[in-house]
Amino acid sequence: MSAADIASRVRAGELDPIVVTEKALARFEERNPVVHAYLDLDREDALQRAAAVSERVSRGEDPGQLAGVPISLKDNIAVAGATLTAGSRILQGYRSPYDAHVTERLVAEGAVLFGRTNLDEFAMGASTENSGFAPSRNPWDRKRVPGGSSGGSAAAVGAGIVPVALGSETGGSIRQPAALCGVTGFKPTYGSVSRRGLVAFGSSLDQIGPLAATAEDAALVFDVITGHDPGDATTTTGKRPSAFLAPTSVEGLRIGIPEEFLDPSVDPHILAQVDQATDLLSEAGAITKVVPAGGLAHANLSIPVYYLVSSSEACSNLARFDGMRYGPRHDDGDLLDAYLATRAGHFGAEVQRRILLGTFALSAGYYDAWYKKALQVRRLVSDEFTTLFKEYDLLAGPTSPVGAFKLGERTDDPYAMYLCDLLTAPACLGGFPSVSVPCGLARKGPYKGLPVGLQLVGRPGEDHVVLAAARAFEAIRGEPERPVVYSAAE
Amino acid sequence: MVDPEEVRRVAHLARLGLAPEDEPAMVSHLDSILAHFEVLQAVDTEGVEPLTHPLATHGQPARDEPVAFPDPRESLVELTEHAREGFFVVPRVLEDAPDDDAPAGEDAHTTTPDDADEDADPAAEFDTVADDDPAREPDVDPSS
Repeated sequence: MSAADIASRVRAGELDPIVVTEKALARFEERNPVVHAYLDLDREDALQRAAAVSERVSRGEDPGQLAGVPISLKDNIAVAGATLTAGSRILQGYRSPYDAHVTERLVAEGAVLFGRTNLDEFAMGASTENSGFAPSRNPWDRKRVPGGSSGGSAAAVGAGIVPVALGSETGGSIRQPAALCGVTGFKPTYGSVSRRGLVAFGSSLDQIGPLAATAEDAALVFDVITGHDPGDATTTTGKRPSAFLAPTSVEGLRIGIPEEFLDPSVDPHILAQVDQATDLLSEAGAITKVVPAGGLAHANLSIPVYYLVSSSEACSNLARFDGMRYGPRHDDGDLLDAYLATRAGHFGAEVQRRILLGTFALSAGYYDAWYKKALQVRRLVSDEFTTLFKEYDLLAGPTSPVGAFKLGERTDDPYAMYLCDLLTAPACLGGFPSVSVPCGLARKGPYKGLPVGLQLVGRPGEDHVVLAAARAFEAIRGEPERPVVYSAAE
Repeated sequence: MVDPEEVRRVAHLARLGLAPEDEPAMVSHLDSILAHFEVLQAVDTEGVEPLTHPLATHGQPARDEPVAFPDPRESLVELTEHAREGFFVVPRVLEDAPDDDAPAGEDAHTTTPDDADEDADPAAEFDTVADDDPAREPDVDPSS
């Protein structure tokens, strides 16, 4: 059942939120051992939260837009009293002293918080294989990765355990796992959702967003979590248009398909599915056009730009994890020894690589050649999008150059893992809103039978246009395929 | 692009005590990553203003008035075994003073790491955090 259906039936008094949560718990027991989507789930807490919503209904109150909807949160989003590992051993034992802004918003609208989902350590990765604990599995094939870094959230929704989960994205961490697990993932405009209570990775890029079984549910949750927060000065002030404001029709919508999104490195069978999807949009009245090469001339440099910028920001953000105030500490020797041993002993290899990369790019003698250079090219990438948005309402292409790959397939070469962000990083660099919607399964090749995601990118602040187009596409496309594990215990 | 000495220099700046056995793989990975990133150097960026933040192109500037934030001091101190009397206890960083007034036999020194680290390492770029600054708790973004 979709989040929208659950909420409307709970609000009407036709459905008991406790029953909804019990069913989700049953699905968790059955499917989580297959997908390993969760790092922690407090069953009693979930049931108590459901009971609180139930009481509000029986008192005649309106419990809110997400009444009784079980929602899982990536384990880098704070919930007061709950664990907050960010997938890292360095935060083992830490419990959040307060709720993130998005957590407050969800609870205020009657959502039932349901567990902590797995992620690559500090959201650095594209497969959850960098989790400090254990990787999650793809609901379509447990020998394959769910994508990352919000892979736990994508696997939880893809396996049908919950209708919606929150993830966070810095360079593709919502949309890429959504594509690989066959769910909808939405990265809002930078500044439309508060980052207060999100463990910081790349502060000029990070954004929280929903992963959902349907685009409608993603829009419903986005409507709840968006808005100004005095606790995050980068959130945009003023009333945001509702995600349901724009018409769910693509009639007359100008959709550009940049040649650069059809990069030769993209799997041809993924391209075939995306072609078919843009044809569907065109048949439904959208004006689709391939943007000739050169429109996004610098987009192919997004990988170096993104990794230099995000790692530079990360090495600063992660400086606070030194074992002095939380987490485990190596305490033999003096203060410097304690820092060196604690950080090397509890950060995983990829996090250490990024810290070193960022420290290198910011260090004396290298700053101009690497960090500043990356920021200049970031401007070029962003400006090219802005120019195209004068002519097009949306830009479309594949979300990921590859489908769900096998566990271990990309772990030996860090750069091979970085390439997973090829098509998602550009929108992050400019803070543009973007969605990945399932558009069928690859017919042949190494990802045969696995989900493919269609990516749509919009103008800053036009989150509602992006989401409306996703909902329109969903209506044209029809019910998506679901993995076997999804329907096993309905 | 980078050699072991460079990686050791950066690791020290980042306060990462790389184990000698992990060093060759780290050097090789960073070297390979930077070789791929070298392509940036060919881009003509003459006169291009660096884009540090998407809000530089949309959105609005940050306000400068302070925002009330709950002080999580108690709940945070409860989370660590390294606390005493409401303060975080850190490894000893100051030598005993040569005169007799110095407290003797103390195995730990209660201080803020910021003060302490200056002596330990003048090159520190480290954002060692005073424990009474709630705006810098782990799940809050300091640059927001």
